[in-house]
Amino acid sequence: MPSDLELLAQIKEGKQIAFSALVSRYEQVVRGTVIGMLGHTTEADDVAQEVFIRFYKSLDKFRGDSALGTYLTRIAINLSLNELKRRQRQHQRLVPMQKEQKQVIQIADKAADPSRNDNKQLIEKALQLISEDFRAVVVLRLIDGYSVKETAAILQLPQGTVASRLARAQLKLREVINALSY
Amino acid sequence: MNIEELLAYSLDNDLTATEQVRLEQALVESDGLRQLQDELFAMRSLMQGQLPAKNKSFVQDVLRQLPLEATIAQLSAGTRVLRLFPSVAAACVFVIGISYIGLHLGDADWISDQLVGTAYLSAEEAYTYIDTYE
Repeated sequence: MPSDLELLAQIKEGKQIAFSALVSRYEQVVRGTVIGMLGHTTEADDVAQEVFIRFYKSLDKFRGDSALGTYLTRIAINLSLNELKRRQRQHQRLVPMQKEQKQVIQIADKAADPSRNDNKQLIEKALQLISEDFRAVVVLRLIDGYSVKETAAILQLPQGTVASRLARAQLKLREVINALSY
Repeated sequence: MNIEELLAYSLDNDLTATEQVRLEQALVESDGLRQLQDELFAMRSLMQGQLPAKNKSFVQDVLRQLPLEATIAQLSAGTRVLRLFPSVAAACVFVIGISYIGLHLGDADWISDQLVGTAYLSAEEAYTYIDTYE
């Protein structure tokens, strides 16, 4: 199996098959990041695809200082945060609603959801109810499986900040999961 | 950092000796904290299986958006402009054409003799030409 650097060299030579191999290699981690941040929405796959298109367009900017997976994940996080901002702007225009009210309604929706016992969906829903800062560290560390150090590098934050944020995020997430479960 | 945060923190980080003793002691004394520990372990275990399954059409969906980008990226600068801004390219061709015509008209090259083809004839050839066609 060719290494990331070998694939990159082939992509720069215009070999599209190398690019498809690279997309296939990192599809899950990129989609995992985006879906973790945005939920299973129609935009999530569009954003995940956009991650690879952006990478392709700016191929020359990748100098190999960080691992390719880390680099792609950073793009995924940034595009997801942009999408969340866009949603917030849209939401503010369309439905002026307090955050707390929104959460109560979402929790009520969950109670009526016949798939409430589906742990995967439960976690996905719970993730959408914690703050973006908490969500990002949880997604990177606990879903994508990056170390605290790598998570800090992706988010460009000090390692100590990520460590303490991760601790508080887990407590918050557990609280939300418990609220959704009963 | 309160004891619950310390517990969550310990799952990803090394604790100092003092913190370690404080946490272990609290775990021994508190049922609630032990329950929290169990719940955090269970939650983390669930999260690990949260990566989505591969989507069969994903790679193709990405590649489908690529050809135009890929082709354009591989073209020379001039051709790239042509592809990206066809109206600008057409305008450039038009301006160059007009300038070319203008230059030649300025030199008065397009007089009737040149169009007929007699402009560069010697006097003798011209007489022959006139005799032939009169």
